This record gives sequence, C-alpha cells and structure tokens, in this order.
Amino acid sequence: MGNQSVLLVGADNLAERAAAYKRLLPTDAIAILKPDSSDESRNTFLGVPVAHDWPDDDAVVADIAGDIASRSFSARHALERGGRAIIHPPLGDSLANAEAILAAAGGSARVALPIHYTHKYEAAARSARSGIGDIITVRAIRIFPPTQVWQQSFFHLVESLVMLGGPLRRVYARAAALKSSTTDTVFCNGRYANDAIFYGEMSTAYPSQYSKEVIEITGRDGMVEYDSNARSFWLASENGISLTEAYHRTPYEKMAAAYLQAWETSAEFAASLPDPLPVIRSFWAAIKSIEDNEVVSI
Amino acid sequence: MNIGAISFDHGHQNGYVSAILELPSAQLVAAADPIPEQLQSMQAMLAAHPEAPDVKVFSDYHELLALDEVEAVSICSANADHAQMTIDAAQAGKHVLCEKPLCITLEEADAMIAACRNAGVVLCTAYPCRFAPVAWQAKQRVDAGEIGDILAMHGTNHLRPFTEGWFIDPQRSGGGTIRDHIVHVTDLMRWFTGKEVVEVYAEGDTLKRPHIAVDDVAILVETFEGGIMASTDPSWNRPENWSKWGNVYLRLLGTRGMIEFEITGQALVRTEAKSGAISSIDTSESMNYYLLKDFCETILAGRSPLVTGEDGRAGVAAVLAAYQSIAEGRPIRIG
Repeated sequence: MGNQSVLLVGADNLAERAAAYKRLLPTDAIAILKPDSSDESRNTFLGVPVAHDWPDDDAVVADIAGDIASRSFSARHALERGGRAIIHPPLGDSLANAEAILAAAGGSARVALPIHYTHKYEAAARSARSGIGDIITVRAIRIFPPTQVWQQSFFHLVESLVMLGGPLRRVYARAAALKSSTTDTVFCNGRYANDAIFYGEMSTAYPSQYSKEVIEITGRDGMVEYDSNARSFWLASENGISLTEAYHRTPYEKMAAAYLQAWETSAEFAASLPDPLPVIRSFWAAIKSIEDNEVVSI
Repeated sequence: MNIGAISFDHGHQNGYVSAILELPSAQLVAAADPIPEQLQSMQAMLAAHPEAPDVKVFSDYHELLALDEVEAVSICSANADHAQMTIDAAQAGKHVLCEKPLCITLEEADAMIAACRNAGVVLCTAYPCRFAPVAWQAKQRVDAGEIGDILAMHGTNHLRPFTEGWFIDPQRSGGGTIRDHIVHVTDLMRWFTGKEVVEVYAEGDTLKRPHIAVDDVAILVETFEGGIMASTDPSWNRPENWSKWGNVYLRLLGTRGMIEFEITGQALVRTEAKSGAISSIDTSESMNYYLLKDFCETILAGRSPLVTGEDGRAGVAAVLAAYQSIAEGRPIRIG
C-alpha cells in the first residue's frame, strides 16, 4: 500500500469505519476529517489522527459519510483532485447532483457507492435466477438501530429491492417520524419492469434490542426466503435479548478491504453498484412519492 | 344451541363443524349443501364421533331454515351467496355466523346487517384469527399498555395458489387473494388499534397462475386513523409443496415496544421420505373452537359478539378500496 492516506469524512458509523481501515492500513495512513466539531480539542479518534483541513495530497482517497449536502461537497473535492471517493448513499442531495458526481468521475471507476450486506442479497438473487420460475413478488424488510441519515438506510432498501428483482417501474412510498424528530420508517410498494410486485420496509424506530431482516422472493414455481431472526445469533441476558448476526468480518471491513484493493490495482470496486443510476433514480422517485403521496413512475 | 351448517363450499365449514361437535353448549342438528360430495368430510367426522348427533341433511338450505329446532346457522357458501343466505336465515329467525369475507358489496353488507337487526338475531363474521391463542395474548398485552400506542404494522396471510373451483370464479368469489385474505389481516389490525383504515394503495395482479381469472398476488400499503402506518401481503404465492398453512403474521410497533406473532407458527413439521411431502400440523388450541364458543355464548347471554357484521363490512370496504386503487393506480381514501 502506498503512502497516501484514507480520509474518513463524516461521523456516521465512524468507529466501525475507522476500525475497518485500521486493520488494513498503518494507523498514520488514515485521517478523520472533523468527526465531531463540538470536540475539536481531540486530535485523535481510536488512535486515528483528526485532520481539520482537507489534505493537499495529489490523490485523495476518501470515505465520505456525514450529512447529505456535505457528502456532495466532499465528493467533488476529492474527484477534482483526481482522487477516488467512496460515497455512502445517497449519492448527493438530488438526482441531478448524483448524475453530476458520476459524470465528474468519468463513470464508476473513481466513485464507489457501497452496497450493504452484499453477500446475502446476491445469494438470494442468484438463487432466484433458476428453479423458481419467473419472479412474481419480492419483499425486503430491514429493521435496524437508528442511523444519522435515514436516507442512507432507505437507499440501501431500494438497492436491495433492485438487486433482488431488477429495475423498478413505479413506486409508492410513505414515510413517517414515528419515534424521532426525523424520518425513521418507510413503507413502499410498486412494480418491477417485468411486472412483479415488490414491498420494501425500512425502520429504525424499533426497540434497540430488536432487529429484523427479511428477504423473500417468490416465483411461479418456488420461493427463496431469509429471516434474520430465524437464523441469527441470539444473546439472552438479564438486560434483555439481543439478536444479531455473526460475522468473521463486518460488512464495513469487507467493504474497506475491497475498496483498498481496487485503489491499489486501479480496478473497479467490487462492493459498489456496477450501474448505480437505476437505483439512484428509483430512490429519488420514492422520495418524490413520499413528498407528494402519489405513485411515481421511473 | 342448535346449529345448522349451510353450504360446505368453503372448507372452513368442516372446521366449524368440528368445533361444534366439541362444544358442550352447541349441537349440530342439520346440514345443507346441493353437492353431496361436499358433505363427506362432515359425515366422516360424525362417523368417528363417539356421541354423534342425528344430523338432518338437505340439498336446499331453505328446508334447513324451515326447521324450528335450528336456532343458528353457520354459512360457508361461495362469497356471492353470503348475502342472500344470511338475509333468508335472519328472516327465518336464525342467528348467523357468516364466513369471511362477509359479502361482495357494501350494499349487501348493509342489507345483511339490517336484516339481522330487524329480526333481532346475531350476525357474527367468521374472523377466527382473533381467537388464536397468540393473537389473544398479544391483544391482552397491547391492551395492558405493554408496547404503548401502536404506530406501525405489517401483516401477511399467504397460501398456495387456487387453480380451480369457485375461489377463482370472479362471479362467485368477487375476487382473488385480495378478497380472500386481506380481510383477516385488516381485521386484526382494526382489532389491535381500535382504528379504521382510511387510505389504501394496492398493487395486485394475476402472476402466479396467469390463466386464472382473479388476482393471486398483491401488496397493500395502508394508513389507519391517527396516521398509523400499515402494510399487508395477502398473496396466494406459495409453492404447492409449501409446508406452512396460512402464515397469518402480524408485527406491531408501539411507542414503548413491539410485538410480532404468527398464528400458525408453532407447528409440527412432518416430512415423508418416500413421497417427499412436507406438511405442518398446527399444535395450538383451535381458534375455530373459541370462535364458535363466543358465537354461542353471545346468543345465550344476549350480548354482542366479539366479531360483528360491522367488522365484516369494514373488511369489505378495505377490499373494495384495494381493487379501486389497482384500477385507478392511486391511493384511495375510505369513508
């Protein structure tokens, strides 16, 4: 690995992201850009140096989270310097912005849009491609602890639906702030391009000890189903019951490893969407449906 | 309580007959169906029963209604016949347990409710899921405030596809999986929240078996009074060798917690090596038993049943809104 640093931008899941890169790079090859403006007296986080200004490196490799507007700004900053950027979804604060970022990057080679839990959804989609006939319905449900940017969780839901059943044709979505000051729950349904029907549910409003991930693909001749609570790791204590998944490497660690490998070899980032625009367009169509309470064609 | 069973078009009638045979407060006295073969399961149950009652059998249900000893009837015909049979039974002075969905149109529902009210007889919609032990316990916990106020719900009711019979004849069924299944989930959601559905957006189609004339897959996103979010998957999209039955599942998010349950989730699974058949055997207490028990106690005590004709009407309203949503491609307001 060269001498350039990976710059972590934004405080979303910072501990997991920093830990993932620290395992793969020398500690001083990572920097965090202003993770917490209220605590600038700190100059390290988990032993990682905190940078207060964008570095002057010729080739910046950035892992960008944070609020949506600053993601776009940071992405353009990295790309204009000829760098590579892994940008946590959604890519920009509008469809036009996302398209502009992709255009500025000259395609997806320098911009990575990480996919969540790739292995599970890819396995389900692969399994559904043979033996169950034409897909007729897809259900994807993702109930997780709160995140700082709800659009990121919802984007991953849309991405999952597209991965499982193909491009969406139309979407209807409803969102609400059920237990917090910002949106924490989204229900959506609609049609795939091939007429199959989908349902997606994202919620961060459930009790912290509860999580659930459901993947269900039905076809004319069979079905594929996954329920995290039926197959997950259970921990019961006096404080309650914890449901989680058991990993050898967390999704962040796998993502970081794939990203750094792509950086070293100048290859495509394997954990990114190869063609992100259909997902991005579906995501913004769902956002419009939420705003207007109407069905939106894609 | 002397009960007559009218029509075995819907297989649920056999479950209700079984419950009647077990109930100390009920007696099966007559059965009517124009198709003799549809009575075979009932006759087998009677043959196996140690104290089998003497059940009069008719091909025309009007003859059953003419019997003075019949005090109440269980109607399990094709959906399109529910209204006329219920009105005839009410006019004959018989209390009515009517299979879900209550009927096809809201006008029929209003006529059924009015006929029973005018005759002074009970009209109960057969929503047995309210009587499943897990649903009952969940309701008690919700009513005790254990999860706070309900904010969001997701429910399912799945089945293997129907490929023949009145279920896929739109003239007799009034529709497919939406007509058949959302009424169970919608009723549970209404029961748990005490709120009505106010808006429905539905996607539905005939995709599992494209040759049939009714919808077999659907997914609904609904809004209840107070802005409660809900969604329902009622599809007949399971494979023919699917081991479960019903998959009536509900997940409730409240202000202080959550509950999820599946009515038929705790079942024995039986696998046969030679045939490859996999089947599940429900091990919970019979929800049909408690449905019939409540029906009989309602009549004997002169009180209102747990599930009324109005509850059946609300299910029909949700069904009609879903079909209108599909036809017009937009969310539909109810009421």
